[in-house]
Amino acid sequence: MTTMNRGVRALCTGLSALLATTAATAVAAQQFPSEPIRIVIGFAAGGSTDTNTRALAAAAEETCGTEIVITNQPGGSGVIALDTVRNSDADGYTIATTPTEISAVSHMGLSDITHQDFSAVMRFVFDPHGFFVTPDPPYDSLQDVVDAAKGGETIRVATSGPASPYAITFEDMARNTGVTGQLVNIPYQGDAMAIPAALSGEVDLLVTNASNVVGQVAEEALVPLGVASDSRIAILPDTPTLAEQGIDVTGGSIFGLAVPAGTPADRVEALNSCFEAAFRSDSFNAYVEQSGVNPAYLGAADYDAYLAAEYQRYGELLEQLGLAQ
Amino acid sequence: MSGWAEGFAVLQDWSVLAMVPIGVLLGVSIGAIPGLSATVGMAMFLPFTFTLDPLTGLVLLLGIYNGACYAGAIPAVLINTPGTPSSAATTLDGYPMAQKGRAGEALTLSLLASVAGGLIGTALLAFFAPVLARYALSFGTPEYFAIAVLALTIIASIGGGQISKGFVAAALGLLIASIGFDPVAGFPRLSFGSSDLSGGIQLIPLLVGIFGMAEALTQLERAIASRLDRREIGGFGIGAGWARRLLPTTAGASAIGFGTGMLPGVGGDIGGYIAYNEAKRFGGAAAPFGQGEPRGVVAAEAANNASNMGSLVPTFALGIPGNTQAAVLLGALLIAGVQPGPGLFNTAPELIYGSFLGMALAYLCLLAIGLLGIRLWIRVIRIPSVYLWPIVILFCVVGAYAVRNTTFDVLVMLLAGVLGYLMTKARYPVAPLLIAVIVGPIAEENFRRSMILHQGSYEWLLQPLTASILAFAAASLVFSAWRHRGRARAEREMAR
Repeated sequence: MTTMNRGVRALCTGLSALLATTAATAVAAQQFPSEPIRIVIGFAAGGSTDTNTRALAAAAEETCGTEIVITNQPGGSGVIALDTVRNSDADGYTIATTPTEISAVSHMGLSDITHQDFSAVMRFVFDPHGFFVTPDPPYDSLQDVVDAAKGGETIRVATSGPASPYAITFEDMARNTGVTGQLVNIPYQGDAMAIPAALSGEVDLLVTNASNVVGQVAEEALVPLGVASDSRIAILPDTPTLAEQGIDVTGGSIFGLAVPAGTPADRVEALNSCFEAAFRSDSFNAYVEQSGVNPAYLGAADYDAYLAAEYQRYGELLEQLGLAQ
Repeated sequence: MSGWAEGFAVLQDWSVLAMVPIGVLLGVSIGAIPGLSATVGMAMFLPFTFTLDPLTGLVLLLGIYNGACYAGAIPAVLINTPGTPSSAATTLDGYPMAQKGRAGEALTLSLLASVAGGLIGTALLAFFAPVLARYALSFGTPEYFAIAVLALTIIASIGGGQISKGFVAAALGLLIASIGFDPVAGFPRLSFGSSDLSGGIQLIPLLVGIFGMAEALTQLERAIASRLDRREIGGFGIGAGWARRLLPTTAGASAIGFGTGMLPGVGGDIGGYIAYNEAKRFGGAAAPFGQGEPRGVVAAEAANNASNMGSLVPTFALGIPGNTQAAVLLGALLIAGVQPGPGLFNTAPELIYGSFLGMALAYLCLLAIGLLGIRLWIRVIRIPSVYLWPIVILFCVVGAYAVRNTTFDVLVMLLAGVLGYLMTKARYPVAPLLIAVIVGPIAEENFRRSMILHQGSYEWLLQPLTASILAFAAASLVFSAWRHRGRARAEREMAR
């Protein structure tokens, strides 16, 4: 009798616990997000991904109504951080910043991570790559650069390594114009090393995000020859796109957010709407205005499709460039 | 001069002035805990500055920057663990001083040297930044390689004991540094298919392990064996005649630190080691460097604080961050609507001169906070070994985890701790290993890039500046070997 009593009691406790959990889950689902959200950034504090994301997160703390904790996990072109997020609970409380590299690393055999491990939340900034030279250059346009290269001149181009997005855009441009051999990729460890090299004339051409050199351009220490975007950008209104110069190449640094694949759709939607509100907030707009980054919103579904297309594009590109594994 | 007046005017605002001690205190707390770096601290407060007036935000960030750089010396002296990488060279003489019952003096010295180095650096930055920035641009890839080689030659003189053991430690360091993506070809090296390893070994977990964890193991072993406890603190004074003894070192180290700091990618850790090495070279053969020589502490701390200021030269004058902290500052400047670059001194004089004055003020504030705080921090030493070192181990674990929130870094820290412990047992110096880890990648990357830039020809080695630095490095190596032989012979004759 006593054993049965105990059994019944245990069953009751179990049931009520189950009920309580379900109720709690229901409440949590209604009130998502009700806990602090963590954003894992794959690059060091102070870099462009970090600054852009922190600016957005500061606005999102209000629009999402919860605390947002930022963690930097630099290493392996952002792969370490993506790996962390991919392996976290798919509950919407852990968000990754999606670097451009997410479309490239698996093709190059550097990691098995792809966009399929994630569910996109949104894209908020697209900073196109630009091509820059020092003032009084022998080149007035990218066509001049190409002509010089065709004439047998060796042109040294500063990028951030052979597998970096800058280098891929540059290689794409070189291949597109048929001057692969004469344009030499000089890899630097990041913009802090590459920009001085361009300023001092150690290299002939610099590839970097346009927003990284707004100051140098304003003071005419560097001259922009072209931007690799579909249309001209706000901070360099007089600089033609590559397409305008007959070079069919686009490329840039993508700043977006994503959660682990398998996160409930309603939570992805909730995150998208509150981060979109942050994106449209006055404080983030003020940031965009002052920092010179190029805002480029894509919603969850659009960004998912965009990442899939980019994955395809990088695959083909890297194959052609001989960088695929 | 009107820039100074404008800067002075905008600084006279209570909300700006209040940020100075707040920033410094935050910086001191962050810097004193191994693993927490000024970069993360500043990045944490960056969004907060969006809502502040530009100068107020800058002053807050600069306070953190300066405070953390000094505070790295506190655990370096007390528990042989640099709080930030910049203070790595401070352990060389700071900790031996503490072990010999001169912890109070060592802490006072590190504070005074930090403040002096910082103020000298601030002055150089304020008056010469635009000129110096142009000079820094003349340092191209080949010159970076030469500087890295120069820094590597320190291994020969810093090792203490046998030079050969120093080289073994350095070789191990180079091996550790080569883990991760190849800087030029982008291939993963020594990664064995692990994505953690392909990301490379982070400096801070290694540093915390090889110093803090290793020292904790050594001390615990000693405490369990002998129960010998209770170290003496000694007085806080720095002795009479300090001016003559320490001022030349301070001035020289500040200049070296500032000069190296101006080069993007070369931080206070390298500056500290180079300055330490020069102090040792000029200190006379009899000076007990490595065994508690006050000038060693002064050189390292003056240099790293001056280097911090040097890093701001390319930041303010060219808009290029000299280190990761400067990158955060650059972010803050951009958000404030200020475009750093050669024109900055004319377009926003109140902000620039205001922040120079703010920096000087932060150092004075640091002096006050430091003098008050030293008596508090030193109590760490009073904690009995059997309690102190387990706490240190706990901090090492937390510190290593805090860097990136990955358990991989904790594993690296623990392994580095065991490595450091074994090296100490076998009398292998750890400083050469660390120098190799920090400088090795700079040497490799710049060597290979020079080769690409010159299409496979070695002619770049003969460029005047590169060749001079390399010649100096060679001379420095020969000098250390010669002095070493002299000392060894003297010891043999003493024994006879």
